[in-house]
Amino acid sequence: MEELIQQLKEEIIKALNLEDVKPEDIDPAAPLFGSGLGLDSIDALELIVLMERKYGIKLKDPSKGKEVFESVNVMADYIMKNRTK
Amino acid sequence: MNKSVFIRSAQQISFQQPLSNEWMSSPIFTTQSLVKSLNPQFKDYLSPLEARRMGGLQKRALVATLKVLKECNLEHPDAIITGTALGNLICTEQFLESMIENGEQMLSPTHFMQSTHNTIGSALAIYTHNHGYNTTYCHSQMSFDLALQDALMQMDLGKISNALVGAFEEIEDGYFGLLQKSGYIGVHGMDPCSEVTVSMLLTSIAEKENLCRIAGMCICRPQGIDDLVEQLDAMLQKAGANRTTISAILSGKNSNPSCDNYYNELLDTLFPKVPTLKYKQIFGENFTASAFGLYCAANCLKENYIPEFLYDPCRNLRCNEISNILLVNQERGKDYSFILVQKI
Repeated sequence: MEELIQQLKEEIIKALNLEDVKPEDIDPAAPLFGSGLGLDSIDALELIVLMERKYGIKLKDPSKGKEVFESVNVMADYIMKNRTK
Repeated sequence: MNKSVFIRSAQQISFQQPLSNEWMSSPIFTTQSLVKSLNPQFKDYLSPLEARRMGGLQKRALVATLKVLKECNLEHPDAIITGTALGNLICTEQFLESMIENGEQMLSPTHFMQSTHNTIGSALAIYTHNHGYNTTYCHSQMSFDLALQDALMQMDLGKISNALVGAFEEIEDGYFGLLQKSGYIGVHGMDPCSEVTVSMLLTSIAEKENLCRIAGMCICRPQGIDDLVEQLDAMLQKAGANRTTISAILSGKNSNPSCDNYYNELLDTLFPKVPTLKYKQIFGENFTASAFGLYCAANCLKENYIPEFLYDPCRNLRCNEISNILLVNQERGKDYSFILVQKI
């Protein structure tokens, strides 16, 4: 799980072009949207693309994104349970 | 034009020192056939969060524009009019490559947003909270000239009193290779291919800080030389000038014979005794490089000085006095643009 969390942080930084943010700066329990990293709706789309491309997870229900992208920890847990690659 | 239009401020980012007119005293020359821009410190102008959805060209455009607006003490220009032939080329290629790699699935929205030709004009408007007229012209070598003409016409009609006009272009190895094969750039001995970022503010208000006055402009696709002369002379006459009152001509010659021959024919026929200047040896060639020409002429008029390296070596004539400069841009001998700028 720790390895996946680390990998996920790196993937998020790359996908969202978060210059000046290092993996250790991201609190895995902190909210990704609103406070925390302060991501927005376009970032949510980028994360949906990331989930599908990297882990083979297709989020068919967009409203589920709010739940899945709550934090890095929640994302990692969802990936562990649903990944196809 | 019935109304006076001035260039209040202009900035460039090229392979010269960015956001500076150091090129006038310390120009950078290169023997490379493809030269990228020297980027300013983006962090001085944009936070990483603001910059993260911007490609390199978008950042350059925004930073140059912010500097222009700051110099003018202006927050919201009446209009934003840009010219670009290729748009955000690098982002477009990234988007297309991703489409191919992923079978047209799972595409990044950010790359899509960055890949349209009017992305820059839109980004400038969003960043400056501008809700005015916003248009991008994409017409090859005439893109910037058409953007400028649009601004001048709207100012002449009294619809706007100022306009932010810009030219933006980026290039990378792959597309450079294609353009080289076509003979457009990269020809041996030719001026380098470069990237373009020029932003300038036009205003109808006469101020001592203005760089120069745009006295006249015409863009044409003439039927022949007689038609060309007629249109040029009509523009000059309307501006209160004629071919004998031109102090210097700044042409878009780029040391590629297939391009320069059109200029030489025109200049030798119509302006045999006028000093000629060229700028692409220090700013490079690209579709909207004519914006560098206007930027260059505006600075020369403001400083009342023409650096020696701007003189066209083909003609051994020098200016005694600079009261105006006629800019000439052309594409394949078909489309022509003339801009007359005057000292204030």
